[in-house]
Amino acid sequence: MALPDTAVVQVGTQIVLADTTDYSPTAANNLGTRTDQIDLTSLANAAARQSAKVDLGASRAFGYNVMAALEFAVAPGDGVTVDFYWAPSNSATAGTNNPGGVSGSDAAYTGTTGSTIDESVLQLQYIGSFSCTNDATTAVQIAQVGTFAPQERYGSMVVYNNAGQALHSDAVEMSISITPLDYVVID
Amino acid sequence: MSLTNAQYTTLANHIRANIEPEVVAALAIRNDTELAKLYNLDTDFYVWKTSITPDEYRSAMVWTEVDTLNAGNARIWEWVTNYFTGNLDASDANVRQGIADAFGAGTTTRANLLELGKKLASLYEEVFATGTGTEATPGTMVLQGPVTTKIIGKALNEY
Repeated sequence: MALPDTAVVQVGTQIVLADTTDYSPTAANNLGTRTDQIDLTSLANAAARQSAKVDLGASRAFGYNVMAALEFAVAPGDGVTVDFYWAPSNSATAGTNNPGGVSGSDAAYTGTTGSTIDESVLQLQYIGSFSCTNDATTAVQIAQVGTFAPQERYGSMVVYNNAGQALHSDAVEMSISITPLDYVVID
Repeated sequence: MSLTNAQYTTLANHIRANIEPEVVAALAIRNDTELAKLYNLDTDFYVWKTSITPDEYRSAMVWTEVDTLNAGNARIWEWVTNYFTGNLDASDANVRQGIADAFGAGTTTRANLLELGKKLASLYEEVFATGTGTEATPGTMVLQGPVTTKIIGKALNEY
Protein backbone atom coordinates (compact mmCIF):
# COMPACT_ATOMS: atom_id res chain seq x y z
CA MET A 1 0.00 0.00 0.00
CA ALA A 2 1.35 3.36 -1.00
CA LEU A 3 1.86 5.85 1.78
CA PRO A 4 -0.08 9.11 1.49
CA ASP A 5 2.18 11.91 0.45
CA THR A 6 0.00 15.04 0.67
CA ALA A 7 -2.65 16.49 2.95
CA VAL A 8 -4.70 19.38 1.67
CA VAL A 9 -7.43 21.57 3.09
CA GLN A 10 -10.84 21.07 1.57
CA VAL A 11 -13.52 23.62 2.25
CA GLY A 12 -16.60 22.08 3.78
CA THR A 13 -20.17 23.31 3.95
CA GLN A 14 -20.25 26.78 5.41
CA ILE A 15 -22.20 27.77 8.47
CA VAL A 16 -23.44 31.34 8.18
CA LEU A 17 -24.81 33.20 11.16
CA ALA A 18 -27.11 36.08 10.29
CA ASP A 19 -30.52 37.51 11.09
CA THR A 20 -33.43 35.65 9.56
CA THR A 21 -35.62 38.72 9.20
CA ASP A 22 -33.04 41.05 7.66
CA TYR A 23 -30.25 39.15 5.97
CA SER A 24 -30.21 39.93 2.29
CA PRO A 25 -26.74 41.10 1.37
CA THR A 26 -25.55 42.40 -1.95
CA ALA A 27 -23.36 39.99 -3.86
CA ALA A 28 -20.21 41.85 -2.90
CA ASN A 29 -20.91 41.36 0.81
CA ASN A 30 -22.45 37.92 0.75
CA LEU A 31 -20.50 35.50 2.92
CA GLY A 32 -22.94 32.73 2.17
CA THR A 33 -26.44 31.41 2.66
CA ARG A 34 -27.71 31.89 6.18
CA THR A 35 -27.91 28.71 8.25
CA ASP A 36 -28.14 29.86 11.86
CA GLN A 37 -29.44 32.80 13.82
CA ILE A 38 -27.74 35.87 15.24
CA ASP A 39 -29.17 39.37 15.15
CA LEU A 40 -26.42 41.98 15.23
CA THR A 41 -28.77 44.93 14.69
CA SER A 42 -27.62 48.04 16.56
CA LEU A 43 -25.25 46.07 18.77
CA ALA A 44 -23.94 48.84 21.02
CA ASN A 45 -20.37 49.54 21.95
CA ALA A 46 -19.33 47.50 24.98
CA ALA A 47 -22.27 45.16 24.43
CA ALA A 48 -22.22 41.55 23.27
CA ARG A 49 -24.55 39.29 21.32
CA GLN A 50 -24.78 35.51 21.39
CA SER A 51 -26.01 33.29 18.57
CA ALA A 52 -28.40 30.42 18.64
CA LYS A 53 -26.63 27.14 19.32
CA VAL A 54 -24.95 25.72 16.24
CA ASP A 55 -24.60 22.04 15.39
CA LEU A 56 -21.26 21.39 13.76
CA GLY A 57 -22.30 17.83 12.93
CA ALA A 58 -21.52 14.38 14.24
CA SER A 59 -18.37 14.41 12.14
CA ARG A 60 -16.88 17.85 12.24
CA ALA A 61 -13.80 19.38 10.74
CA PHE A 62 -10.56 19.74 12.66
CA GLY A 63 -10.66 23.46 12.25
CA TYR A 64 -12.92 26.29 11.20
CA ASN A 65 -12.20 29.69 9.71
CA VAL A 66 -14.28 32.65 10.79
CA MET A 67 -14.89 35.77 8.75
CA ALA A 68 -17.45 38.48 9.36
CA ALA A 69 -19.23 41.23 7.51
CA LEU A 70 -20.10 44.15 9.77
CA GLU A 71 -21.59 47.57 9.20
CA PHE A 72 -21.25 50.47 11.60
CA ALA A 73 -23.62 53.36 12.20
CA VAL A 74 -20.65 55.72 12.55
CA ALA A 75 -17.12 55.02 11.34
CA PRO A 76 -15.06 53.42 14.09
CA GLY A 77 -11.42 54.27 14.59
CA ASP A 78 -8.84 52.31 12.66
CA GLY A 79 -7.76 49.20 14.49
CA VAL A 80 -10.45 49.10 17.15
CA THR A 81 -11.97 45.65 17.44
CA VAL A 82 -15.06 43.53 17.62
CA ASP A 83 -14.09 40.37 19.45
CA PHE A 84 -15.36 36.87 18.70
CA TYR A 85 -15.67 33.96 21.11
CA TRP A 86 -16.93 30.41 20.80
CA ALA A 87 -18.98 28.81 23.58
CA PRO A 88 -18.58 25.06 23.09
CA SER A 89 -21.25 22.66 24.31
CA ASN A 90 -21.78 18.92 24.26
CA SER A 91 -25.55 19.32 24.32
CA ALA A 92 -27.96 20.06 21.50
CA THR A 93 -30.34 21.66 23.97
CA ALA A 94 -30.06 25.43 23.92
CA GLY A 95 -29.81 26.05 27.63
CA THR A 96 -27.76 23.02 28.60
CA ASN A 97 -24.01 22.78 29.26
CA ASN A 98 -22.97 26.20 28.09
CA PRO A 99 -19.93 28.02 29.45
CA GLY A 100 -19.79 31.65 30.54
CA GLY A 101 -23.50 32.13 31.07
CA VAL A 102 -24.31 31.61 27.39
CA SER A 103 -27.99 30.82 26.79
CA GLY A 104 -27.80 28.95 23.50
CA SER A 105 -30.35 31.30 21.98
CA ASP A 106 -29.96 34.45 19.90
CA ALA A 107 -29.98 37.18 22.54
CA ALA A 108 -27.96 39.88 24.23
CA TYR A 109 -25.01 38.41 26.09
CA THR A 110 -24.32 39.96 29.48
CA GLY A 111 -22.11 37.30 31.03
CA THR A 112 -22.90 35.20 34.04
CA THR A 113 -25.17 36.37 36.82
CA GLY A 114 -22.30 37.35 39.07
CA SER A 115 -19.76 38.60 36.57
CA THR A 116 -19.32 41.12 33.79
CA ILE A 117 -18.94 40.37 30.10
CA ASP A 118 -15.18 40.88 30.34
CA GLU A 119 -14.95 38.39 33.17
CA SER A 120 -17.35 35.86 31.67
CA VAL A 121 -15.83 35.60 28.20
CA LEU A 122 -12.73 34.17 29.84
CA GLN A 123 -14.71 30.93 30.11
CA LEU A 124 -15.20 30.91 26.33
CA GLN A 125 -12.83 30.08 23.49
CA TYR A 126 -11.37 33.21 21.96
CA ILE A 127 -11.43 32.99 18.18
CA GLY A 128 -10.03 36.34 17.18
CA SER A 129 -10.77 39.99 16.65
CA PHE A 130 -12.32 41.82 13.75
CA SER A 131 -10.02 44.79 13.22
CA CYS A 132 -12.06 47.75 12.06
CA THR A 133 -11.37 50.39 9.49
CA ASN A 134 -12.61 53.97 9.44
CA ASP A 135 -15.72 53.22 7.37
CA ALA A 136 -19.34 53.90 8.23
CA THR A 137 -22.55 52.68 6.71
CA THR A 138 -23.21 52.13 3.86
CA ALA A 139 -19.76 50.60 3.62
CA VAL A 140 -19.72 47.00 4.80
CA GLN A 141 -16.50 45.89 6.39
CA ILE A 142 -15.44 42.32 5.76
CA ALA A 143 -12.53 40.95 7.74
CA GLN A 144 -10.82 37.79 8.79
CA VAL A 145 -11.48 37.03 12.45
CA GLY A 146 -9.52 33.86 13.13
CA THR A 147 -9.45 30.09 13.02
CA PHE A 148 -10.39 27.76 15.80
CA ALA A 149 -10.68 24.06 16.58
CA PRO A 150 -13.94 23.38 18.44
CA GLN A 151 -13.70 20.58 20.95
CA GLU A 152 -17.42 19.87 21.13
CA ARG A 153 -20.11 19.19 18.57
CA TYR A 154 -22.25 22.19 19.46
CA GLY A 155 -21.54 25.79 20.29
CA SER A 156 -22.60 29.41 20.17
CA MET A 157 -20.86 32.44 18.78
CA VAL A 158 -20.44 35.45 21.05
CA VAL A 159 -19.74 38.80 19.39
CA TYR A 160 -18.37 41.49 21.70
CA ASN A 161 -18.39 45.01 20.27
CA ASN A 162 -15.43 47.00 21.53
CA ALA A 163 -15.28 49.32 18.55
CA GLY A 164 -16.58 52.44 20.29
CA GLN A 165 -19.50 52.60 17.85
CA ALA A 166 -22.79 50.79 17.56
CA LEU A 167 -23.40 48.46 14.66
CA HIS A 168 -25.84 49.56 11.98
CA SER A 169 -29.57 49.73 12.64
CA ASP A 170 -30.34 46.84 10.31
CA ALA A 171 -28.67 43.49 9.80
CA VAL A 172 -29.21 43.24 6.06
CA GLU A 173 -25.49 43.02 5.31
CA MET A 174 -24.12 41.59 8.53
CA SER A 175 -23.11 37.97 8.89
CA ILE A 176 -20.50 35.62 10.27
CA SER A 177 -19.21 32.72 8.21
CA ILE A 178 -17.78 29.62 9.86
CA THR A 179 -16.02 27.60 7.22
CA PRO A 180 -14.98 23.99 7.94
CA LEU A 181 -11.42 23.23 7.02
CA ASP A 182 -11.44 19.52 6.24
CA TYR A 183 -8.04 17.88 5.92
CA VAL A 184 -7.98 15.47 3.01
CA VAL A 185 -5.13 13.04 2.57
CA ILE A 186 -4.15 12.52 -1.03
CA ASP A 187 -2.41 9.37 -2.03
CA MET B 1 -9.77 52.59 38.52
CA SER B 2 -13.02 50.73 38.09
CA LEU B 3 -16.30 52.43 38.86
CA THR B 4 -18.77 51.29 41.44
CA ASN B 5 -22.33 50.43 40.39
CA ALA B 6 -23.48 53.74 41.84
CA GLN B 7 -20.85 55.63 39.85
CA TYR B 8 -21.86 53.86 36.62
CA THR B 9 -25.45 54.87 37.35
CA THR B 10 -24.42 58.46 37.99
CA LEU B 11 -22.49 58.61 34.74
CA ALA B 12 -25.29 57.03 32.70
CA ASN B 13 -27.88 59.36 34.20
CA HIS B 14 -25.67 62.37 33.53
CA ILE B 15 -25.22 61.45 29.88
CA ARG B 16 -28.94 60.83 29.39
CA ALA B 17 -29.86 64.11 31.08
CA ASN B 18 -27.24 66.14 29.24
CA ILE B 19 -28.87 68.64 26.90
CA GLU B 20 -25.72 69.75 25.08
CA PRO B 21 -26.55 69.18 21.40
CA GLU B 22 -23.32 67.30 20.71
CA VAL B 23 -24.02 64.88 23.55
CA VAL B 24 -27.65 64.43 22.56
CA ALA B 25 -26.63 63.70 18.97
CA ALA B 26 -23.93 61.22 19.94
CA LEU B 27 -26.19 59.45 22.41
CA ALA B 28 -28.95 59.09 19.82
CA ILE B 29 -26.74 56.92 17.62
CA ARG B 30 -24.66 55.47 20.46
CA ASN B 31 -21.48 57.04 19.20
CA ASP B 32 -19.60 56.15 22.36
CA THR B 33 -16.30 57.32 20.89
CA GLU B 34 -17.75 60.82 20.52
CA LEU B 35 -19.33 60.67 23.98
CA ALA B 36 -15.97 59.75 25.49
CA LYS B 37 -14.34 62.61 23.63
CA LEU B 38 -16.96 65.07 24.85
CA TYR B 39 -16.72 63.88 28.44
CA ASN B 40 -12.93 64.22 28.30
CA LEU B 41 -13.07 67.90 27.34
CA ASP B 42 -12.14 70.46 29.96
CA THR B 43 -14.85 72.29 31.86
CA ASP B 44 -14.47 75.48 33.88
CA PHE B 45 -14.51 73.50 37.13
CA TYR B 46 -11.17 73.63 38.93
CA VAL B 47 -9.82 70.68 40.87
CA TRP B 48 -6.64 69.94 42.76
CA LYS B 49 -4.18 67.76 40.90
CA THR B 50 -3.27 64.52 42.59
CA SER B 51 0.25 64.27 41.24
CA ILE B 52 2.84 66.93 40.43
CA THR B 53 6.24 65.57 39.50
CA PRO B 54 9.57 66.98 40.74
CA ASP B 55 10.31 68.18 37.22
CA GLU B 56 7.09 70.15 37.28
CA TYR B 57 7.45 71.74 40.71
CA ARG B 58 11.16 72.42 40.23
CA SER B 59 10.19 74.97 37.62
CA ALA B 60 7.92 76.70 40.15
CA MET B 61 10.71 77.31 42.65
CA VAL B 62 12.28 80.71 43.25
CA TRP B 63 15.70 79.74 44.48
CA THR B 64 16.39 82.96 46.30
CA GLU B 65 13.32 82.19 48.43
CA VAL B 66 14.59 78.69 49.05
CA ASP B 67 17.89 80.14 50.14
CA THR B 68 16.19 82.17 52.85
CA LEU B 69 14.17 79.30 54.40
CA ASN B 70 14.96 78.69 58.02
CA ALA B 71 15.89 75.16 59.09
CA GLY B 72 12.35 74.21 60.15
CA ASN B 73 10.72 75.43 56.99
CA ALA B 74 13.36 73.76 54.85
CA ARG B 75 12.71 70.50 56.69
CA ILE B 76 8.98 70.78 56.00
CA TRP B 77 9.70 71.22 52.31
CA GLU B 78 12.10 68.27 52.31
CA TRP B 79 9.59 66.04 54.03
CA VAL B 80 6.69 67.12 51.84
CA THR B 81 8.69 66.38 48.71
CA ASN B 82 10.67 63.45 50.11
CA TYR B 83 13.85 65.41 49.45
CA PHE B 84 12.71 66.64 46.08
CA THR B 85 12.08 63.16 44.72
CA GLY B 86 8.40 62.57 45.43
CA ASN B 87 5.32 63.68 43.58
CA LEU B 88 3.10 66.24 45.30
CA ASP B 89 -0.57 65.41 45.83
CA ALA B 90 -2.19 68.82 45.81
CA SER B 91 -5.57 67.31 46.64
CA ASP B 92 -4.20 66.41 50.05
CA ALA B 93 -4.93 69.35 52.35
CA ASN B 94 -1.98 68.43 54.53
CA VAL B 95 0.38 68.67 51.58
CA ARG B 96 -1.01 72.09 50.75
CA GLN B 97 -0.58 73.06 54.38
CA GLY B 98 3.04 71.92 54.21
CA ILE B 99 3.64 74.11 51.18
CA ALA B 100 2.00 77.02 52.96
CA ASP B 101 4.02 76.43 56.11
CA ALA B 102 7.31 76.12 54.23
CA PHE B 103 6.84 79.17 52.05
CA GLY B 104 5.25 82.17 53.68
CA ALA B 105 2.32 84.15 52.39
CA GLY B 106 3.42 86.56 49.70
CA THR B 107 6.23 84.39 48.40
CA THR B 108 6.26 83.67 44.70
CA THR B 109 7.15 80.02 45.26
CA ARG B 110 4.07 79.45 47.39
CA ALA B 111 1.84 81.09 44.80
CA ASN B 112 3.51 79.16 41.97
CA LEU B 113 3.17 75.82 43.72
CA LEU B 114 -0.48 76.34 44.58
CA GLU B 115 -1.21 77.48 41.05
CA LEU B 116 0.61 74.44 39.70
CA GLY B 117 -1.61 72.25 41.86
CA LYS B 118 -4.79 73.29 40.06
CA LYS B 119 -6.25 72.13 36.80
CA LEU B 120 -9.51 72.24 34.93
CA ALA B 121 -11.49 69.07 35.38
CA SER B 122 -12.85 67.19 32.41
CA LEU B 123 -16.61 66.80 32.31
CA TYR B 124 -16.19 63.18 33.41
CA GLU B 125 -14.10 64.30 36.39
CA GLU B 126 -16.52 67.10 37.23
CA VAL B 127 -19.48 64.70 37.35
CA PHE B 128 -17.91 62.99 40.32
CA ALA B 129 -15.87 65.83 41.86
CA THR B 130 -16.72 67.40 45.18
CA GLY B 131 -16.22 70.96 46.36
CA THR B 132 -16.66 74.45 44.99
CA GLY B 133 -14.60 74.14 41.84
CA THR B 134 -13.58 77.75 41.49
CA GLU B 135 -10.02 78.81 40.80
CA ALA B 136 -9.81 80.18 44.34
CA THR B 137 -11.33 77.05 45.87
CA PRO B 138 -10.76 74.03 43.64
CA GLY B 139 -12.75 70.87 44.13
CA THR B 140 -11.46 67.38 44.75
CA MET B 141 -11.57 64.61 42.19
CA VAL B 142 -13.22 61.34 43.17
CA LEU B 143 -12.51 59.75 39.79
CA GLN B 144 -9.83 60.82 37.35
CA GLY B 145 -10.08 60.77 33.60
CA PRO B 146 -9.81 60.02 30.86
CA VAL B 147 -13.04 58.12 30.51
CA THR B 148 -12.87 55.34 27.94
CA THR B 149 -15.45 54.26 25.37
CA LYS B 150 -15.73 51.03 27.30
CA ILE B 151 -16.80 52.81 30.48
CA ILE B 152 -19.28 54.91 28.53
CA GLY B 153 -20.64 51.81 26.82
CA LYS B 154 -20.94 49.81 30.00
CA ALA B 155 -22.72 52.67 31.75
CA LEU B 156 -25.26 53.10 28.97
CA ASN B 157 -25.77 49.39 28.36
CA GLU B 158 -26.15 48.25 31.91
CA TYR B 159 -27.28 51.15 34.08
